[in-house]
Amino acid sequence: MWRRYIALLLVLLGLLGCGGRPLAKNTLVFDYAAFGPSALSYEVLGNEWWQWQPQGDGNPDTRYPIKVVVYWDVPLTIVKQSYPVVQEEQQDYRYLERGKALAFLEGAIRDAKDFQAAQGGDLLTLLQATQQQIEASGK
Amino acid sequence: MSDLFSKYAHQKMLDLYQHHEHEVGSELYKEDPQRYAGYQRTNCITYALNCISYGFTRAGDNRAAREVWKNIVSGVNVISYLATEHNWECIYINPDTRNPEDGDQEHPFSWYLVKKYHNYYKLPVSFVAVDYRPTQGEGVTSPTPLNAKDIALLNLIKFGFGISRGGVHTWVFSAGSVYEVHWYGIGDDLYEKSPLVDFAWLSGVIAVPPETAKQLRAAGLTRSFVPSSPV
Repeated sequence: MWRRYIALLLVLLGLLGCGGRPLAKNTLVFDYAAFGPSALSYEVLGNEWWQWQPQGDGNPDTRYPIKVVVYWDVPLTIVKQSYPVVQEEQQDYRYLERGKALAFLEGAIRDAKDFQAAQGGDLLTLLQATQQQIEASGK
Repeated sequence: MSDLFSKYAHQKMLDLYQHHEHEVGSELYKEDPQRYAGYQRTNCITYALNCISYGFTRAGDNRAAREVWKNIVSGVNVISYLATEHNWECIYINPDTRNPEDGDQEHPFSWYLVKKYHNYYKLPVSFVAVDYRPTQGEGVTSPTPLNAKDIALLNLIKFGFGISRGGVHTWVFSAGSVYEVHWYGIGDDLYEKSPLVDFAWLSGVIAVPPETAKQLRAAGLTRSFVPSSPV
């Protein structure tokens, strides 16, 4: 049994030590907006304001630099340690497992195709770019 | 019950809007707690909950007056509670569903979702009041036709609770005007009243008590969808 724990420990140490940046091979970090407007993405990402507040600023122009960490082949607890939420530093991460991210994007892209056919704009391109980036990773 | 609620929630809304010498914006307070030690902290959702809980209390529902505060975590949660437990209904608002003034896809996309799924951030939408201020300007190649009818019907609302961008901002509404609190303000900068037609947050929903929804239905406010059988 102890060999299993040591093996797991070595894997985790390897993940944390790779390439100078923690978990660089097992995560991608996006802006919140890479998953489309909040009306579309809030179910998987949470609200588009700081997670430690019940509401946002009263200024409609305020945007929150929230980041989304897409991860794979690594426990969420380790991801959270590498990308911690720190209120004092206004550091707000949302965590999305790769499979869930791709499942969300598949549905979102279907809606975006309908939407763009009627409305125009670049939402579909944005979502497809995010999807391609995630698909190219973690293989 | 609902009429009584609206009467008193409206009363509290005006009272705080006119008399708030004892209050300070919650974020301003954080910057200098000693300076503002004698003040009560407020912000946009606190203002709304002060009005709503007061309305419930004066209408004789003390339990609801307490329960609503448990949903302070977000404006969506507050409306979800009001809709589920007290049959409130939502009106989706959007001044221009095709050409948002700020260029943000949040507004046309939330309209797309309302049309397709009849909800806004998972809140069921009963009515829509849209296209009441079509965007003008050089970048607009295909202006949205003006719809003045539905916005005018919102003057029937004595008290409503509004959210924008899924609850980034919350506010209260009465007779065509938005009443809001700015959490970095104090004195004259703390509260603001503005016509909904000019409200810079653009899309969102206003939740109203069931009696108000009944009036809006009777008056012909556009429905989010037409039910197959009469309601």
